[in-house]
Amino acid sequence: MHAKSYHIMNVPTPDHISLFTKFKEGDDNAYSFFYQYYINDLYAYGISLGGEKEIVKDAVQDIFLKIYFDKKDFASIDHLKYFLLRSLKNRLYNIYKSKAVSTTTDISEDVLNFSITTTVLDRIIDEEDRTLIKQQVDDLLSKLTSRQKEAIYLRFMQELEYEEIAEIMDMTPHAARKLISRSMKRLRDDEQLLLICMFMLIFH
Amino acid sequence: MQVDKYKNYTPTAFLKDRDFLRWQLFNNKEDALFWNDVIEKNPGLRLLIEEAIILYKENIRFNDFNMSDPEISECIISLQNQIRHKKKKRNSKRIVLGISAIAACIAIIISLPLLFNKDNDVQDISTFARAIPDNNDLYSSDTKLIVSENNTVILNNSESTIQYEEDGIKADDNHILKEESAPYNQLITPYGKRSVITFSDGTKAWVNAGSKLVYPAEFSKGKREIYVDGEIYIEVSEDKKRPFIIKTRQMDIEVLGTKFNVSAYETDKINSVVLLSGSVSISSNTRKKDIILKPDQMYSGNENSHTVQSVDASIYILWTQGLYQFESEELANIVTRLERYYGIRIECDPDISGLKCSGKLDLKDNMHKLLEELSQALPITYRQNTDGSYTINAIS
Repeated sequence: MHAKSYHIMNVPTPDHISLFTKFKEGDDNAYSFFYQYYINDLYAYGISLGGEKEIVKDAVQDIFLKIYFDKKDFASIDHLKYFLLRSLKNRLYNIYKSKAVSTTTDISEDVLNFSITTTVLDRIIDEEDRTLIKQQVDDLLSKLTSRQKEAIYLRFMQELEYEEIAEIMDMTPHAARKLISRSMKRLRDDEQLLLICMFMLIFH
Repeated sequence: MQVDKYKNYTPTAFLKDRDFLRWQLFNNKEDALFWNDVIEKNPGLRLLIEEAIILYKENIRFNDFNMSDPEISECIISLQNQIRHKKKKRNSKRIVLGISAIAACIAIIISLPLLFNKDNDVQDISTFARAIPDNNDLYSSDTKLIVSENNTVILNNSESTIQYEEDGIKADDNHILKEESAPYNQLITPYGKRSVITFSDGTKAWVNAGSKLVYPAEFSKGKREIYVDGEIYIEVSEDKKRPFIIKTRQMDIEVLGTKFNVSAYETDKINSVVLLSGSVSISSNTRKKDIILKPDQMYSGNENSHTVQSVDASIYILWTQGLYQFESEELANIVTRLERYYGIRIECDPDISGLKCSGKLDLKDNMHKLLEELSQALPITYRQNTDGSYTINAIS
């Protein structure tokens, strides 16, 4: 979810659908369009995973280069997007894994560590409020683990299906569902706990 | 979660409420039920909450990392090269990338430069021009004609002549075969030099000092496009089927066949176009309507505003003959022109930079003589520094 494409992201228009058909047939205009359409989403995802700017850029290029020459049997536009996100993660994972090997450090499970950065735009809201809003959102998200953040990001901000999230995060769809519902429960419970604590403090 | 506290909330206050934020973030059932309940109990809140939702959607972003447009352009160029390279290896057909066929979607990508040309495998000229690294070429002592990545022709005349002919390129005493040329050529005329170039269609341009031109070695069938950062006087040869378009950072100038002067140095805030004959239309991303100029009119403007006034156009092209005539021109502008033309730095005291002056200077004279003439017309003195640069001060 980001500034440029937020409003158009989720509803494919007839134009998008006809472009997508052309894209599958190998049309260069359509390829070019989808490249521009997704490049910033992919870039943002790569950076969120903790990738460095230049490495993410290269990884994005690699994926698009491959897609250009490969058979494009995607079922839908959403499927294409899912495929791109997944490929990017795999590509980054491989790059960082081989880096880790060459620098002889341990390959930890989390070569890539997902984080969520909140931005409050300054269109109408004044600075003081912006800081407070950002603080509240960050506080909420800080209760989540890196994996929970990633799952939530893919589900609610990139609007992927549980099956797709499961693929990207290398788990079963059932586990993906559970991961997300647990994250949400955690946020709710925390809030309630906070209320109870306050309640007790007041009446103590 | 008490409902009453929301009674005095403003839309912004909702954005600081965790329950509201969580509802917006994850849209799960429990939160939705809770908020439906809030609205049911306080119907007056409905509008405020709706407003808060809009505020949230419009202003809160997660992982809002974007590449800048130049970065994207760079990526596109490198991807295109990679694809072309790989295709060559595969010995397959030419690659045709383009976006012009998808005009319907243009609104989405309007902020990006055009990326690929439709009718051939050459990328858009503006994209290409803006991706060229700045190698301080404008401070070089020679004019450079870059024919391809590994073929740069150095021209050391103070006024070079470049001519694109059917079978090759003539540049002063050099001859280059057209086969050696990349799709786009560049002519870099540094400070202190000038050049005259004749393009493949017969159009002739006088290029002033400190200018960079990008143009195809051969114009395409549909249109003629060149990119200019600097000043040129151009005589476009008529071809009704192929409009001639001069692209600059601020504006595009489209013509069929005509004579006019363009001053569009990217370092200058104000760009100008002066028309001698024919007609031109000037468009810019920041303007809805194109501006049409008539002969002896001057357009001058920046990204936000512009004026069109009547002038004696012939004055504005005197530089092509080594003359510079100006009418109630600010000293600062005169100095900038001289600096470029001679490639010599002139420092001008800000106190006098607004002084206005009219007159005519012969640019074949040396700088010393010119400043002497200026100091007779204006209350200024000048001195030459040890590094060759000049300093102009008010008479104390």
